[in-house]
Amino acid sequence: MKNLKKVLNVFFVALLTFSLVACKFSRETISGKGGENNANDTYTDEKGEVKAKTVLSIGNYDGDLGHQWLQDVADEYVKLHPDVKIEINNDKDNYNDSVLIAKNMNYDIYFLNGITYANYVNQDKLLDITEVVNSVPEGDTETILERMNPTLREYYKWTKNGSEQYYAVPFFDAVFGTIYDVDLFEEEGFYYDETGELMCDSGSTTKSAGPNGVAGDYDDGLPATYTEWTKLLNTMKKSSITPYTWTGMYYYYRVRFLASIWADYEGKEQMDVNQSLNGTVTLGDEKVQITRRNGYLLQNQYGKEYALTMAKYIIQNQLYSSDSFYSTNTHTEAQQTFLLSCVHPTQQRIAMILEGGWWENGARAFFNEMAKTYGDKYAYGNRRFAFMPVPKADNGKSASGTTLISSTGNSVVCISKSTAHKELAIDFFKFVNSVKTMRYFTKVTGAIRPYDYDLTEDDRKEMTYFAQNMFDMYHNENTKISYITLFQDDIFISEAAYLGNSNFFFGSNLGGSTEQEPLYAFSQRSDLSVQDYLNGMKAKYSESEWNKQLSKYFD
Amino acid sequence: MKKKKRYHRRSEDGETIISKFFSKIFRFIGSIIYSIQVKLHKIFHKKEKKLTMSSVKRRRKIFYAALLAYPLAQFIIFYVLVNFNSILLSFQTWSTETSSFYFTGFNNFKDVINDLFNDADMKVAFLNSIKIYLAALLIGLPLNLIFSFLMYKKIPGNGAFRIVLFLPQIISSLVISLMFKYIVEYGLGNLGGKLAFDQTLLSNRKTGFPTIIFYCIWASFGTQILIYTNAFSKINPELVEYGKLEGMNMWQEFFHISIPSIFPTITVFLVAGVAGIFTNQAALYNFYGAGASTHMQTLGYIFFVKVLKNNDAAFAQYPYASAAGLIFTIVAAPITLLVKRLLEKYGPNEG
Amino acid sequence: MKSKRKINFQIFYAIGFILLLIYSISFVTPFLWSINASLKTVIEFKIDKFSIVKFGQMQWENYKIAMNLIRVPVTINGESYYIGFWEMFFNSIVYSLLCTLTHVLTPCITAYAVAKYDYKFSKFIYSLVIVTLILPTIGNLASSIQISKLFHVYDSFIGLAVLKGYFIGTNFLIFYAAFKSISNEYIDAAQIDGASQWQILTKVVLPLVRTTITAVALITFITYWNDYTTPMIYLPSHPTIAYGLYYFNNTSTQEASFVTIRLAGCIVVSIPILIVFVVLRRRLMGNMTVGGLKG
Repeated sequence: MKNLKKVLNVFFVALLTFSLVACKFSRETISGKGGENNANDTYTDEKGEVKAKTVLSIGNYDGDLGHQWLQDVADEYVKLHPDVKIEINNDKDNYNDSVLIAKNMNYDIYFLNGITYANYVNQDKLLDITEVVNSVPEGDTETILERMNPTLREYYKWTKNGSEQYYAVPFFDAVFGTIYDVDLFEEEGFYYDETGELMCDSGSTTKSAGPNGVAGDYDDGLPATYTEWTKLLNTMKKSSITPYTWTGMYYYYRVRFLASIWADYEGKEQMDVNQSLNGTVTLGDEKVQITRRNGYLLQNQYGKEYALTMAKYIIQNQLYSSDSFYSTNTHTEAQQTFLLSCVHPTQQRIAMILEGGWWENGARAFFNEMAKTYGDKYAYGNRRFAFMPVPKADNGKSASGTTLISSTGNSVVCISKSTAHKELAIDFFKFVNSVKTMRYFTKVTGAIRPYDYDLTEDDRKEMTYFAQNMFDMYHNENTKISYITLFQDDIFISEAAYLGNSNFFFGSNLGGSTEQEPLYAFSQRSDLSVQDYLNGMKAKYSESEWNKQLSKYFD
Repeated sequence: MKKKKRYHRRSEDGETIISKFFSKIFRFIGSIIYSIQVKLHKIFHKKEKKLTMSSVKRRRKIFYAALLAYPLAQFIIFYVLVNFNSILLSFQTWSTETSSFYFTGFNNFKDVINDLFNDADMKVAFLNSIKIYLAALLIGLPLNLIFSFLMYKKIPGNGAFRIVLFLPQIISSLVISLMFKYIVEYGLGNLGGKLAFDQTLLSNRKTGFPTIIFYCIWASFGTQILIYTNAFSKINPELVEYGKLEGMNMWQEFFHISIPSIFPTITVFLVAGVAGIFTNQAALYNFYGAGASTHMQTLGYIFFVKVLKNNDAAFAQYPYASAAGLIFTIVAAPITLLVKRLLEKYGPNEG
Repeated sequence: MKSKRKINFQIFYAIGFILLLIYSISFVTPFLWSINASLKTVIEFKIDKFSIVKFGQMQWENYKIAMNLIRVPVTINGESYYIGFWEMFFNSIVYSLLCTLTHVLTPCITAYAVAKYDYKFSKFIYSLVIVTLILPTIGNLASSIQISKLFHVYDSFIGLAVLKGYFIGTNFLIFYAAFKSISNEYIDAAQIDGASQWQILTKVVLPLVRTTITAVALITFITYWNDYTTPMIYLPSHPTIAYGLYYFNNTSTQEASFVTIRLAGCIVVSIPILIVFVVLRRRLMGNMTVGGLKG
C-alpha cells in the first residue's frame, strides 16, 4: 500500500510541477511579424496626436504559395496608410468550409483555397462586393471584373432576386500537366527543328513551331504530333534517359495528366461540358447535344481514347521511372528525384515530371539543399524548366491552340460579412486586386492570377525561367483554360460518389473490380488494351447505370 | 433532499428538452454522491461503536454502493446515452442552412444500404475485411500463442524477445508503417530483385493486399503476448507434471494441456474481435492516406475515409456514420453470439 | 521415451527460436535503418537509401530541425498559436497520466466490488461487461462527440479522463480475474480483526494485486501515449506529441517533407516511451490474466 501511495504522491507532485512548467511555455503566435511601420499599435497623426491603429486581420491559406508575398503587400499598404495595422493569420488545416463557417469568418479578409463557394453565399457569410469588383482600383484603367477570366466571371456571379452579385473573386490559378527539363532538352538536342527532325539527328538549331503551330512562342520545338511524341520518347530511351516520373502516392496526379491530354484534344468548349452537362460535343462525326439525361455519352469523347492511347504507350514501353507507383513516392519525393536525377551517380536522368504549376515554388527547400551540395548552378531559379503542351493527335482533329486544365478554380479572395472595418477591408481588397499587386504576386510566387495583366521586363528578370514560360503560355491569345473542378451542375455535388471527377473522368469497370486511373491499370495488367479500358468506362457509365443513379434529377 | 427549483434559461433551439433531462440526471447523480459522502463520513467516525453482524452487513452494502456509484454514472452517460443518441442521430440529417439536425426517417439507412449493395468496390472491401479477419484468426492468433508459449517455457533469449515482441505496442504505428513502406519498396526492391520493372510487393495488384495483411499481423504483437504468457504460467503445475509423466512432447503439451487450459482467455479475444470485420481499416490510412486503391480497401477503411474526407463538413457526415454503425452492429451482434456459442460448444474443455 | 521427448523438445525450441529470431530481425532492422537514414542529408538519402552514414558526417541538425517543425497550430479565443514540441510533450504526459489513472482505477474498483461482494447486482454488472463486449458498437464516434460537448468534457484533460474512465472492457476482466484469485480468507480475517471495508480494500486487497495494477497501468499508459486520434478529436486546443507527430507527417512545410527530417521526428518522439518501457519492462510481467466469458 505504501508503494501505491508513493506512486500517487509522485504522480501528483509531477502533475503540479508540470502545470507550473506549463505556464512557462512560450507560444509562437501565427500572425505576421510585420514590417517596421507595422510594429506598433499606435501612430502619430498630422496634428501630433497619438492614436490607436485600426487593425485589419487577414486569414491566409498557407499552402505552396506561402505568405511572404502577402506580408510584403501588407507592408506596402501600411506604408501608404500609417493608421492601419495588418495582422496575417496563416493556417492551412483550419481554413476549410466547416471551420470557417462555424467561426463565422472572424477575420476581415480571407485568401482561401479549395472552398465550396455556394456554401458561403447560401449561409450569408460573405460581403457583397458587386460594387467593388465593378470599380477601378487606384492606378488601373479597367475594373477588376473586366480583367477577370470569363469562365470564372460567370462562375462567381450569383443571381439573387434577378440581380447579379459577386461575393468573392478568384485568387490564383495553376495549370497541371507535363513539366520538362529545358537544360536537358538543349544539351541532348531533344527539340524538333523546322523540318520535323530532332535536332540531335539533324544538327539544326532552328526550332519548329511546336504543337500550337505558331513560331516564336512558349512551345517551340516541342513534339507537335503523336508520331513526333513517340519518336522523342524512343530517342530518350536510347540515350539512357528516363522520360517520365510522377508521384506514386497520389493517383489523382495521373488522372489530371490524362485529363490534360483529353482537354487539349477536345478544346475548352467541349471539355467544359463535362462540368456543366449542358452543351454540344462532337462524338465521331456527329454533333450531339448533352444534357443531364445523356451525360453518359461523354464517355465517347475521342479525347479520352487519345489519353488512354498515350497512357498505354508510356506503360507498355516502360517510359517512366521505376518508383512511379511506390506509395512512399509522394509528390515532393517525385520532385526531388526529378531534380536530383541530373547529378545522381547511379540513376538515369529524368526528362519530364507530371506536376502542377506550383511545383517549383514548393520545391525551393530542395533546390537549396542541392545548391549546398553541388554548387550555385543548382539553386532555385538557376535551372530552367518549362511546360510541355500536349502533342496533337495524328487524326488532325485536335482542337487548335493550347487548352490547359486548372484544378484551382476554387481559390478565392473574399471579405467577411462580419467585418468591423468594411471601408478599410474594401480598400485593401482593391489594393490586392490591382494590376500592380498582381504583378508583384506573380513575381514572388511564380503563380498566376486569372486576370488580364502583363509583366514588365524588370519583373521578368526576377522570375524563374519556368514562371516566365508559364505566364507566357497562360496569357497567349491561343491558350484557353478549362477548370476541371468547377462543377456548374449541382448534380456533381449531390452525387459526388458517382460523378466525382476521380471516378467520372477515368473510372472503369474491369471484370468485377473498378480502376480509377489507367496508368496503374495498364502497369498491372499487361494484356489490358485501350479498348478494354474504354469498354470498362462505358460499362461503368452505361445508359442503364446512368438512369439508375441519376434519374431522380431528370426534369 | 430539498430541491430548489432552478430554471435554466437556454436558447430556444430545441436542445432545451435534452438539456433539462440531463440537468435532472446530473442533479440526481449529485444527490447520490452527496448522500454517499454523508454516509461514508458516518462510517469513518463511528469506529468506537461495537460492531454487530447486521451493522457490518449494512456497511458492506453502503461501501459497495459507493464503489459502484462513479462507474455506473459514467457508464450511463458515456455508454448508454452515447449509443442511444447515436441511434437518434442515424435518423437525422444536417441542414447547412439552419446549422442544425432534423429528422429524416430512414434516409440515412437507405443511403448506406444503397452504397453497400450497388457499389462493386464494396464487395471487394467486404471480402478483404473477411480475409483480414481470417488471417488474424488463423495466422495471427496461432503465432501469438506459440510465441507466448515459448516465452512461458523460457526459451533462450526470452528476455530480449519479450522486449521485441512488445515493441509494436510501444512505437507509434505511424513510425512503424513509414519504416515498413521504405523497407518493402526500396529495401526489398533493391536487395531482393524486383517482381517486375516497376512492381514492389506493395504496388503489385496481386501481392499488395497480402502484404498489407502481413503488415497487420507483423505489427500486431504486444499485449496479447503478455496476457497469454501470464495465462500459461497460471496453469496448474500438477497438470503439466501429469503430462510429463504421460510422456507428452512439447507439441502435445501445447495442444492438449496448455491451449485447453487458457481457452477461456482466447475466447475473450476471439469474441471481441468479430466487430473488427467492420471497423478494421487495416493500417491503410497510414499507408495510402485517403487514396488507397480500390482492390485493397476494407469496409472499415471506406467508412473511415468517408467521414474523414468530408472533414470540412464533418457534421453532415455524423448521421451517415451513425446509420452505418447501427447497421454493422445489427449484423455483427448475431455473428459474435454465434462465435461465442460455437466456441463454447466445440472449443476444448477447460483444463 | 526420454530421448524422444528431448529431440521433440529441441525441434520445437529450434523452430520457435528461429521464428522469433526472424521476427526480431525484421522488426529491429527497419528501426536501425531509420536511425541511420535520419542522420543523413536529404541528398545522401536520395542517392543511396541504404549506405551507412559515416560517424563524422552525422546530421544531428536533422533532429533540431524536426523538433522545431513538430508544432501544431491551434486557435484559442480567436488567437492562433503554434503549440511547440515541449508543450505537446507536456500535454502528452498529462493526458496519458490522467487517462491511465481513470482507465485503471475505474475497472479496478468495479471489478473488486463485483468479484468480492456477493450481491445479485454484482452478477448483473458482470453480465453487463460481457454483453457490451459481445455487442459491438460501431460508428458511435459522432454521437460521442456530441455528448462530450454537452457535458463539457470536450477539450479538457480532466473531462477526457472522465470520458475514458469506463469500467467495461478487458481491463475489467483482468482485474476481475486477479481479485477472484485472492482467497476470501484474507478478507474474512481482516473483517474479524475489525477492519473497515475501506481498510480491507486499501490495506489487504490492493497490495495483493499490486503487480497487476502496475502492469495494466503501464500498458494503458503506453497506449494513451501513442494514441493520436483521441486527442485529435477531443482535445483540439491541447495537442499531444503523438498528434504532433501525425500532423508533422502530413504537413506541407517544405523541410518536413524531407524523409530524413521526418524520420528524425519519428525517432525523437519514440525515444521517451522506449526508455520508459526498457526501464520498467519487468513490471509489465505482472499478474495479468483474463477469465472466460461465462456469465
